Amino acid sequence: MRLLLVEDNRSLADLIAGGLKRAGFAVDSFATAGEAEEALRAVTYDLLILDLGLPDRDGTQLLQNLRKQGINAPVIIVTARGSVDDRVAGLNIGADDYLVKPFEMDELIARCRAQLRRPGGRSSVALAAGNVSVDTVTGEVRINDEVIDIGRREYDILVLLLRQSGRVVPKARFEEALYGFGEEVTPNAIEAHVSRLRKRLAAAAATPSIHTIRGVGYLLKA
Amino acid sequence: MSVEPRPTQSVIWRTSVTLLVVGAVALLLQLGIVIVHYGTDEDFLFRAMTDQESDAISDAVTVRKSGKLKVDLPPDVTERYRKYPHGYGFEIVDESGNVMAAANQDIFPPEITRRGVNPEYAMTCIDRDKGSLCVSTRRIEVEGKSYWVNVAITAQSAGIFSRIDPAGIVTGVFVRELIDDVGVPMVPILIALLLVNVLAVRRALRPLHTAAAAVQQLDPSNEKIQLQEAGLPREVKVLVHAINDMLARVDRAMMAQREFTANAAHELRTPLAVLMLRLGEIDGPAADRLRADVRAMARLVDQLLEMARADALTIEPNATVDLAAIGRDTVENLAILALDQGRELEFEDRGGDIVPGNENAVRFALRNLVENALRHSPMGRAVQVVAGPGAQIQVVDHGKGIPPGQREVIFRRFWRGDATTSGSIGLGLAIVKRVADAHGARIVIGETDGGGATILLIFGNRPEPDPGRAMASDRQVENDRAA
Repeated sequence: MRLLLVEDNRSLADLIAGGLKRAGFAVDSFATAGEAEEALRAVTYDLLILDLGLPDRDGTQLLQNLRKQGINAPVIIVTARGSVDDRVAGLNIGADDYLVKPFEMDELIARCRAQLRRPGGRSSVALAAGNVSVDTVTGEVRINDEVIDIGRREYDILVLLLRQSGRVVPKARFEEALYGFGEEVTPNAIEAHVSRLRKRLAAAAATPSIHTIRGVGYLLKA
Repeated sequence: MSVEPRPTQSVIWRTSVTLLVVGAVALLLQLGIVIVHYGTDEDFLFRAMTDQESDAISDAVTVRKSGKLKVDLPPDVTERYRKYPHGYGFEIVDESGNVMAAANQDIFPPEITRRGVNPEYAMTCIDRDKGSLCVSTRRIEVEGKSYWVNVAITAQSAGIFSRIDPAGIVTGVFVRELIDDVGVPMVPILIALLLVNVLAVRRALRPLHTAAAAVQQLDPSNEKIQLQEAGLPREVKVLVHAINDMLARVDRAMMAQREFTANAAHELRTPLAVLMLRLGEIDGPAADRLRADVRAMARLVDQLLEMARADALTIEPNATVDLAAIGRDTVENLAILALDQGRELEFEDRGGDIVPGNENAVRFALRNLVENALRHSPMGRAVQVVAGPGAQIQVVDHGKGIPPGQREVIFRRFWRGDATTSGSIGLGLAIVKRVADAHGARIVIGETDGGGATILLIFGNRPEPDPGRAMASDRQVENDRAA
């Protein structure tokens, strides 16, 4: 996977490139929009990471030009402009994700991975948090590298939670994912499944824990 | 040297005092003129005195059944005639010249013809050795018959008066003449002038009151505030124009400050990103602590931006905020933060309304309220976000609560109740206050059952309107009342 990074702050560019390389990506880093365009003419990149405040041109202009030229690689904007309006504007001109500085490397890597698996429409094969991992193709759940058996509903819940690890998954999302259209959902059904999953994870000494966020949903904390 | 501030006086008071002084001067002038007039016209005052005397006698005359006249003079007049037999005298004569009634008749000088005369009125004075004697004759009518009242008074010259009678009743006459000639015309004019002055000043100052009310309505943190200059009187326009100039300068200064805050915060984000990524490459508890510090600093930068945005906040006429949705979102976004701090976050929808407002602004107001509540919550306890019932949203914590004495000051910028509380620079609640004000929402601080603070944001009042609209709607209210 080859990534293009356009960031004019040398220290930041070096740190981002270093982090991405350690995560297994090949990274070309440029400080200006002009250099980036030149590189894009020569190389096909799988993903672009774009700062908006560039010395020669605004990053949004660069992005618009790329899209006009038919370059459809996913673009993650990494910027100091953090307002909701900026975010919406960025996404409207063709960005796929928007990350406000400062951020942590893990967050950027996770977003890059999310973008890279998107075009195929397939969800990632391996999901993991702490010592829990799930192979979504085989349906295997491992805790501490030991395969454990869990029920279908519990499995679905675990996958949803792992996909959004560290974020709240609203209750409605579980209901949509677990039950078909017209299928009746008893009010405590999700709660019962979550409770069972919790016990199962605890019994196998899993490090992540499932937290109930009352009135909203559930959250898996690694 | 200290200057004693002069007590403030109203314009009405000042103009009234001026008018009174001018009026008093005019009164004195007229008095002077009248006195000079009486002083130079010898007969005038005496004529007035004999008139008054014959009036008093005429009033006292009645006809008895026998056809004789009866004169019932007031006791002081009777007394005067008794006391000064050579000073005053009168007689009443009928058409045939018969004396019908008289007192001190001897003083009438023989040389003055007084009987059988037929004028309506006549008066004459003759000089004597000691002063003079004046006689007036005047026709009166009693029960259809004509009589002549003849009055004689002796006089000497004294002071400003060329003639003064023995009992000095001329001074009384003089005073009465003054009242009639000076007081009667001047006093009502002066009173009318004062009244007109009050009305005129009030009327003239009304645009100033309106302008002052408009200034009161102004919120300097709002952009582009100007007072209406059209239709103002020139004198008031000068002031309003000066105020508008000042407002423009304030506006520019505020804008510069906001821009500076926003730019500074913005520029801080890239170095913070560098710092955070560099720390990501280091392991160990010290690095973890540093990472937490950088996160807190990043949040501070966010708050500075939020504050700058809240200061420039405008609410689009049709923009709405779904309180339940925003409450749920906030809990969703901050749940992990709460868990990281060993606390919990809960949401409850008790039927939160959709209210007019700026969603982003309410979002960061609520975020700041929740962050504040989390900071003051004991470990393991939950902070509740409750939407509704109706147009309100509340954040409930189980901390120490907010003492009533601090409930005002906590909303000040950079105010920190507990200096040891980390991760707070005291901007969060100031943002909440600013957003609430811009929405015309009230912030109510209460106590949570069992201890802790409950902070309510109550919407539903009309959003803070611009001054022009405020006045228009006040007029509307008046019209409604009139209707």
